[in-house]
Amino acid sequence: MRKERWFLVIPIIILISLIFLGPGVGSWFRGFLDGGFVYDGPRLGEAILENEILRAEVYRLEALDEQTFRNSDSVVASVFSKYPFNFKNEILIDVGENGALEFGQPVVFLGGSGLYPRGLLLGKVDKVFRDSSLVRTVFDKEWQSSVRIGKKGYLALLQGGGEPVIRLIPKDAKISVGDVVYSVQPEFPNSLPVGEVSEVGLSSDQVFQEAKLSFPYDFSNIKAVAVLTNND
Amino acid sequence: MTRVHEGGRLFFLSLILVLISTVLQLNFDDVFNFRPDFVLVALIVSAFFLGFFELIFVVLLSALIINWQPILSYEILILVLWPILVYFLNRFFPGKAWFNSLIMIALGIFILYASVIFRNFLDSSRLIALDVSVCLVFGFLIFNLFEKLKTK
Repeated sequence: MRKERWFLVIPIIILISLIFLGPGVGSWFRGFLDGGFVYDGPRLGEAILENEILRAEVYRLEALDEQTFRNSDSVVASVFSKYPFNFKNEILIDVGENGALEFGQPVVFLGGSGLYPRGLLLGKVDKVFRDSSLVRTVFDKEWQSSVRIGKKGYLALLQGGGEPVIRLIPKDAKISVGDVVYSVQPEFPNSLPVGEVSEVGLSSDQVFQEAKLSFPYDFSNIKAVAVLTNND
Repeated sequence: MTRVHEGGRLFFLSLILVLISTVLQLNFDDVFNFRPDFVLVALIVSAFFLGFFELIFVVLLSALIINWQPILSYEILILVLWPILVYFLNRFFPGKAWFNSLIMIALGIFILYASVIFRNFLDSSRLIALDVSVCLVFGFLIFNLFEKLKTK
C-alpha cells in the first residue's frame, strides 16, 4: 500500500489558487522552458557579419517605426506564450481590455526585412481578457483570408497552416517567386503585406494554381507584435 | 531502500520528467513542425507509479506551467483529468502495466484530439498517427525509467 503524502495538500491548494488567480506564474516559468531558438550553425565570422547587418537594420527600422506609427493607432504588445498543442496556432499577448483591444483587430509583426515598414499581417485578435489577448495567427489551420498577389494583384485565398498556402489562383495568372502577397480582407487595412511567394504549382485538381509563402521572420522567435486599433 | 525513499525518488523523477516533457513539447515544433503531447504522456506514466496526492501535485503543476491563457480550456481539463482517471482505473487493467500505459497514452491522445477538433478529426488523421507514434515511444522509454528506479 503506497504511503500517501498528506503534506502535499497545502501545495496542491496553492497550485489550484495559482491556476485560477495567478496564471502569470505559469507563464513566467514557461518563459524559461520555451527557448524559441534554433541554432542553424553559421560560422563565427558569418555570425558576426550577420549581427552587424541586423544591427544596422534595427537602427533603420527604429527610425521608420517612429515615422510610421507616430500618427497611427496601434498598440505594441509582448508575446506572453504560444499555444502548446497541435490543434491551433495562437499566441497570448500582454495587452487586453486595458489597452482597449477588441475582437478582430489585425495584428502585425514589425521588423523582418525593412521592405515592410507597416509590418506584416500575423493574425487577428480572437479573444480579449482583462490584461491579455489571444491572437489567432495565419499559421492556424482555420485561417482563411482574401489576398492579392504581386503587381498585377491576382485575387486568391490564403489558407493557414504550419505552411500557409495561397489557393484558388487563376491558372493563367503569371505568378513569380518573390511576388508580395498582401491582404485585401475587408476588416484589415488594405494591402497589408502577408509574405512572399516561395513556390508555385498547380492544385491537385489542376484547375487552379497554388503557391507557398515565405516569411521574412521566424515565428518561433517572435517576442513582440503590434495590434492595429484603427483600420482606416 | 525503504518504501518512503523509493516513493520520494519516483516523485522527484516524475517532477523532472514533467519539466523535461514541457521543454520538449514547447520546442519540438521548432525543428519538426508539430508538437507531440509529451506532457500528457509523462503524467499518464506517472499515474502508474505515484501516490494520489503526488499525482495531483504533478498534474496541477503541469497545468499551471502549460496553460497558455488566463482561463481553463478543454485541453487543460483533459491534461488534468485523464491521468487522474488512469490512476483510479489502472488497478482494474489486466496484463502488463507497461502495455496498459501505452493503451492509456494512445487513448488519452485520441480523446484530446477528438474533444478539441471533433469536426476535423478525420482530416487530422496523419497528424494524430504521428503524434501517437512519437508519444508511444516516449511513454515506453519513461515507463522503463520509472521501473528501473523502482526496482533499484
